[in-house]
Amino acid sequence: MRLKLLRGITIGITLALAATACTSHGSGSATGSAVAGPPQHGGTLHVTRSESFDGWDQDKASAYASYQTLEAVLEPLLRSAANGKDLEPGIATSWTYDPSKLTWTFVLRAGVTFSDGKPVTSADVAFSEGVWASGPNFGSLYSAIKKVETPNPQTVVFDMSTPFTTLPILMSWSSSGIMPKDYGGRTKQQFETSPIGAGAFTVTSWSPGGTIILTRNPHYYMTGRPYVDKIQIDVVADPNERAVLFQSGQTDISEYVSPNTAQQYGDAIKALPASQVEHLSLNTTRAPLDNLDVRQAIAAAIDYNAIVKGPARGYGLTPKGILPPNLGHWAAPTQPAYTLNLDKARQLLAAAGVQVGRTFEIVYDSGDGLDDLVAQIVQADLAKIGITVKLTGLETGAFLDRAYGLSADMVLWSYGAISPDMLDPMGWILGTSWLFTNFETKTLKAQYNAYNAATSDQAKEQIVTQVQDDALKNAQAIPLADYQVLQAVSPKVHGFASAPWGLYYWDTIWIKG
Amino acid sequence: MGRFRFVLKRLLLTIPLLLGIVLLVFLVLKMTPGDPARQIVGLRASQAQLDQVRAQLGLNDPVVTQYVRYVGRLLHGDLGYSYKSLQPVSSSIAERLPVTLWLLGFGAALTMLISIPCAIISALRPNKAVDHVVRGLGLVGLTMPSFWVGIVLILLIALPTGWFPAGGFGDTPQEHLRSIVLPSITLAISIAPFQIRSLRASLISVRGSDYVATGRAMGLTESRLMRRFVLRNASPPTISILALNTGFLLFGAVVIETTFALPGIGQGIVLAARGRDLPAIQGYTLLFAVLVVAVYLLADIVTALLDPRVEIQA
Repeated sequence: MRLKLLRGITIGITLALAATACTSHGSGSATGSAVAGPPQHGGTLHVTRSESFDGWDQDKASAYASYQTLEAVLEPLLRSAANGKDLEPGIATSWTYDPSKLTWTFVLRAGVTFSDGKPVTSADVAFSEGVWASGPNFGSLYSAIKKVETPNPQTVVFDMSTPFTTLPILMSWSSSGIMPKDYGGRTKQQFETSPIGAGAFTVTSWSPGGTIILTRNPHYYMTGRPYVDKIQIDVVADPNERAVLFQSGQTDISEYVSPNTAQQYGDAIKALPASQVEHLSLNTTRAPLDNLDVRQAIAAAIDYNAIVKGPARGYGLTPKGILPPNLGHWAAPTQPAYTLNLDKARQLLAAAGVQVGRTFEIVYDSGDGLDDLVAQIVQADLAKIGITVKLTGLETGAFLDRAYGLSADMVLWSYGAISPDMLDPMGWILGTSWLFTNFETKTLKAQYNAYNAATSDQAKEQIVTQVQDDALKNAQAIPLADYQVLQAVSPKVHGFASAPWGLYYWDTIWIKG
Repeated sequence: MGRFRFVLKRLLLTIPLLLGIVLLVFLVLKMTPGDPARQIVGLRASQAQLDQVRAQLGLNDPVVTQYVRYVGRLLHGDLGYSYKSLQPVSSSIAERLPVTLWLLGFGAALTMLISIPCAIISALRPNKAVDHVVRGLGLVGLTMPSFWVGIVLILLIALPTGWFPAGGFGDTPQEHLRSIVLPSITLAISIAPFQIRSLRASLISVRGSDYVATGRAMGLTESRLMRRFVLRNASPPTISILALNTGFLLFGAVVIETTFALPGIGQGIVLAARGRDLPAIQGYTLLFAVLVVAVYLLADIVTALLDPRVEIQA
């Protein structure tokens, strides 16, 4: 399932006493190496996270932790820049679009090999594309690719069926990792037990939900990288225990730290630019939520500052729109953001002229301590305008059933991006019946297609503004807060640079001392 | 022969018990809301793809058919494949079980190391100061939840001294030993008070019996009496209590493994539940059930060996 980033549980009294004061909520996406001197080789990087790895089938990856791990072994053609807005060359060094022929041409870097020493060729990319496109989960994203041509071993040409300028973005996703043709002579199952890729690391051992050991790939195409010899990734379910392991020096990087435990990491916390949107989705097919005034009234009754300061512990911002910020082609709406205005909310409810006597149900994932707190704030806020809300916290599977089944009045959840572009957030909204609201998607579908066809940054940003404005006007999904991803990085770790959604490359990291 | 019949009877009784547990585990997870197909194919999958996976897994078949299929696989030692990783659940269990066995073994040994001397000291001086101290400490141990004890041990011992790791299991046997000390102490603190109370009561009762008085009159020393007669006769109820506590011990392991980040069965079941990995949850739950049944069976056998009266009842 998609990772709920800001997962956490209430801090125990003992740990609260032991916690140190939080010093900064500012962003700090990179640890400098200038002060530390030139990169040093060797050592083991110890990483802890809360989410289990989904395995080496790229199509099955659903957690950020899985995206991160996959890219280290099965590297895609392109890499995401840490600024969250650009792409960087990787296995492919150039990529050009021909709008007249609807083709994308990628040129592969000379001398790139898989970890077994065999060269990466265009035939491998063509084979990989076939695997990506056949996946039930991510496969539809590649549906615009009509054909893959391999004019020579270094060149791959993607023939698109429709104008599709966002293909390079897709080529940076963990679902687009390059595999050897025909899985290197093995079956799919054999390959996924012990995969071979062109990434910076090879798989030494792994198990579902258990420890993953990655070892430096001596054939990696970036000279001198990776710096660390080994990475040990442990899944630790309890966020407090993860903090303790970090404090004791047993962990170098703790991924996706919960705001609840952030204080325990002190200055080691890197609060990335906000990129995750918490939202309250209103089922627009159910009366009286089918009434725009009622939806607008709900939006005006919510105390957005309280959500940022309370559950998010200040690691976030009040939202400007429904799309996650700090990503490529994000653009602000022209419509004003929602703010708390109880008088306006009451007036809108009166203008709606509908009875809201019934109790509304908010469904949320009870495994996410943050959503539990946000739901309580929303419940209290709506009570002030006479709307009674029942909170239903559900186990993730049951929650997804209700959300996808559109069987709740309101759904509380968060989402973000997995690449430096608006492609993923817009696609996500589209694929979830407008964030589980059952609002009409015809308009958004047209905007999504236009976005994929747009050739200029300006045109893309205009479309993003339209989507944001439409959402604010219609209030089918109310953005509640823009959260920051928190990563904890030990002072001895250098070269850490993370994109806003939390992706960072292990090959840039080195350990001092 | 009587003891053999007793053990055989106990063994046969475990068969319907295990079948009942299998049925219960299957039904509970079957009734839990949520679509396993969504878990397998992902959040972006279309309804048609979900339907296809459901058909492949046989999730549309009648529940009875699914149950029979499930039991059939179990009888062949097949616990199924993880929905998340598509790896055999049995391999995940095989990887995690040794960690939990280390914890349980050391925890149980430490429990006995603490409880036997404490109970003897108490029983030798009932209602005296030392007895009150032991009982008071036991009461304190009972009131402290194991997750809290674990955190306190980490904060007061592991972090300041560095003698023991704050979590994890390490890679070598030496690291395993260091890693298991604090979790075992945590486990022992939660179990030992029960053992002390039970053994103390039994010891006091046995020490007051006629045959012990006779032994004492015959000039046997207190230590010999304790070793040869009192402890042996007082131990059957304590073994039963220990067996009963094994259930707590196992479920305590879930909490303790989570607190100390031990990659054992306990943490496995937590992660499987969070990931809604039904085959893994079923596998872990069944393993727990089998372990509890096995320990109860073992306790019955040991009691039968120690206590001849069991033969008569059998």
